[in-house]
Amino acid sequence: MTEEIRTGEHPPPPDRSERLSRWTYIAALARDPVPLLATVYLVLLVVSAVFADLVAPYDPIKQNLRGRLAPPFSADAGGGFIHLLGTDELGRDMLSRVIFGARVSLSVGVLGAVVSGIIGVSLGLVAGYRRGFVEDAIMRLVDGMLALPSLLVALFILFLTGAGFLNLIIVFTLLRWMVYARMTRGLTLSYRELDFVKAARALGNRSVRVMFRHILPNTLSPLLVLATLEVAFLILSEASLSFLGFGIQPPNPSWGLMIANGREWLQQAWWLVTFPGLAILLTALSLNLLANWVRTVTDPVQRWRLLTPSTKPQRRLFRAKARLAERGTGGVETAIPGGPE
Amino acid sequence: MTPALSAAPEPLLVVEDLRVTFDTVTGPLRAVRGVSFEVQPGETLGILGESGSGKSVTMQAVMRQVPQPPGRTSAKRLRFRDHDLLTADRRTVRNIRGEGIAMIFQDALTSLNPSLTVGYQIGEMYRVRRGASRKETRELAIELMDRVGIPSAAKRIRDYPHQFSGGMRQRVMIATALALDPEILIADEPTTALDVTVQSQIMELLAELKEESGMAVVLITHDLGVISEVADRVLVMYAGEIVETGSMENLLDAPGHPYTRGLIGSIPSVAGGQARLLPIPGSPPVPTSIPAGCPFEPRCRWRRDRCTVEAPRLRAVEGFEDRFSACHFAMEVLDEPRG
Repeated sequence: MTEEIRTGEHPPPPDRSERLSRWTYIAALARDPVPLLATVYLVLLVVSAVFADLVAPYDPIKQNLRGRLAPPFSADAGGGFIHLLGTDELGRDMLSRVIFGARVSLSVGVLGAVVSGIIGVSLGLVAGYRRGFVEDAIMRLVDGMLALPSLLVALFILFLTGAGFLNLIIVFTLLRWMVYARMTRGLTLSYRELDFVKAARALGNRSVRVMFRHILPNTLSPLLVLATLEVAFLILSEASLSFLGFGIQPPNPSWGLMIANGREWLQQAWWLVTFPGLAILLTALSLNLLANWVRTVTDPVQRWRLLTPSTKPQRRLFRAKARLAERGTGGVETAIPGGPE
Repeated sequence: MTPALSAAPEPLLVVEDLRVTFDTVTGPLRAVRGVSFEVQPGETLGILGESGSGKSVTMQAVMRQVPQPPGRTSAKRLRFRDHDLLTADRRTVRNIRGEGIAMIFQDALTSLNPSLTVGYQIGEMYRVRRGASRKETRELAIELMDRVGIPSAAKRIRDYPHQFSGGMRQRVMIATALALDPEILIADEPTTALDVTVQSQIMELLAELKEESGMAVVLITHDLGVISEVADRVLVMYAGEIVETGSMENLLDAPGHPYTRGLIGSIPSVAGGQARLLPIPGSPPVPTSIPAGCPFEPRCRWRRDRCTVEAPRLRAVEGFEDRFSACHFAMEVLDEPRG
C-alpha cells in the first residue's frame, strides 16, 4: 500500500497551491451582491473620509447665513456647486459636513474597537487558559466594570479630562474591553480542552504560544464579527456623546453632533437629522453584513462555500434534486432507503 | 528484552512505582497504581490494555500532562535520561517534550489545529526551538511530509487538516512529532480511528521511521493485532497495574496471566483453529473501588481463596528471561494447554 503511493504510480493531484490568491476572494465577493454592496459603500465612505479635502465640495465649517436651511438639491446662493444634501442652520453644506463627519466617526469607531479588542482579547485568553486565581481576578473585574452605567462613567471621565478625540478612545477602551474578554474567555475555555491544544503542549510549546498561536486563530472568526459590531456600536456611542456635548466639539462635524444640532430644526428642515442618521445606519448595517461574510471566509473549514464558484449550498441542493428526478425517483424524501412507508 | 539491547543497559526512561490518583466527587480514583518499567533506546514497547486500564494516563504522567489538581502523581523514580521528571521545572519539561519525548494521539483530526496549515504545524517547533528561518522550516516541513509518505508534499503544505484523509492526517501528526527528532515517540492508539488497511500502512510507517532514526517507540493500544506486528516487548495493564510483561513472542505463545490469556483468546485468528472466540466474562473493576485482592479475580477461571485476600505482586516467571506476571498461579496458567 505504502509502496504504491511512494512510487508515484498515481497521477499527481492538481496543483492547488495558488488557489487562495487575493483574486479568489475578490471574485467570491463579486458573486455575492449583499456583502458586495456593503463593501462598495464602506470603500466609498473610507475613501471620501480620507480624501475629504478633495471630495467635499465646500469647507464644512464655513458659514453662509444667507443660504441657511436650504433644502437638498438647491442652488448655492453664492453661485457655487449645488447643495446636494442641502445646508444646515448656519448655511454650511450638509454633504461636506457628512463627509468630514465620517472621518471622526470612522476613526473613533475603528480605533476604539481595535484598542479595546487587543486588551480584551488578551485578558480573556489569559483568563480562559490559566484558570484559577488569574481567571477569577480578571472576570470579577469584568463583572464589576459591566455593572457600571457606561454612559455615566463616560460622561464623568470626559467631564474630568475634557472632551477630545484621544479621550474618547480611552473612554471607549475602558468601557468596552470587557465584551471581548468575556467572549474570548468562553471560547478559550472550550478550546483549551481540545486534543490539538493538548498536542501542542505535548510538543513542548510554551503557554503564551499555545494561547496566541494555537487557540487565538480559532477564536478569530467570532471575534472579528464582534469587533465589526463594536465599530458600529462605537460610532453610535460617539454620536450620543457628541450629542450630549462631551464628544467632538463644534464647529467640527461629527454625525452625532449634527443630529444633536438638527434636532431643534426638525419641523422646518428634515434633512439636518436624516442624512447624518442615514450615514450612521448605513455604516452600521454595512459593517454587520460584511462581518458576516468575513466570518465565513476566514474559517478554513467553511470558506469553500463562498470561494468555490457556483457551489452555493442551495444550488447544490437543487442539482441533487434534479439528479434524483432524472433517475425517476420522486424527490429527496423517497430516495432515503429504509425510510417510513 | 533482546540480547543485543541488554548489552547497553542505559534506559532512556525509568519509571518506578508510578501512581496517579484523581480526586473525584465519589472519592479518589486510582487510575495508575504502582507501575514500573523502562524504555530502552531503539526498542518498541507496547502497552496493552482495555479502556480505563490506565495505559494512557501512565504516559501522560510521564509527559507531565496530568492536570494537578484534580490529578496527583507520585513515583519512586521518574527519570528521562538525567532529568528527574517529578521535580523538573517547567522549562526543562518543555524542552523534553518534543525534543526528548514526542507524542501522537488517537484522533488526528482533533489533534491537529483546524485553523493552521499543516506546513505551519509540522514546522512550528523546529522554527521556535532551533530558530530556523521561514525557508529552512518550509524545507524541513516538506522533507518530513515526504518521509511520512504524503504525496506532493510541496503542494500540500499550505492545506488545512480537514483537506486530508484520515490516514494522511495521522501521517501529518507523525510528522509534527518527528520535527525535533525525539528519542522516544509515544503513540497513543495511533490507528484506532483508521480503517484496517490504513492501520497497517501507519504501523509500517512507524516501523520504518523507527528503523531510520533509531528512536524508541512506545505504542499504547488495546489492539493485540497491532501490537503483535511491531512490538519487541509488551506491558499488559489491567485496572491501573501491570499484570504481565515480557517479549512479544513469549507473551503470545505462552501467556502467563489469565488476563493476557483472555485477551489472546478473544481475538479472531485468520489462520482459523479455534471455532468460537472466548470473551472474558464480566467487566473490569470500578476504579474508585478496587477490591483488596487480585483485581482480575472476579473474572478469572483460575481463582482460589488466596486471590480474594492477597493482591499478587509482579514476579519473575521461571524459565523465561525478563518475564514477569502478577498472578499467584502464573505457572499453572502457563502450563495449561490452550484451545
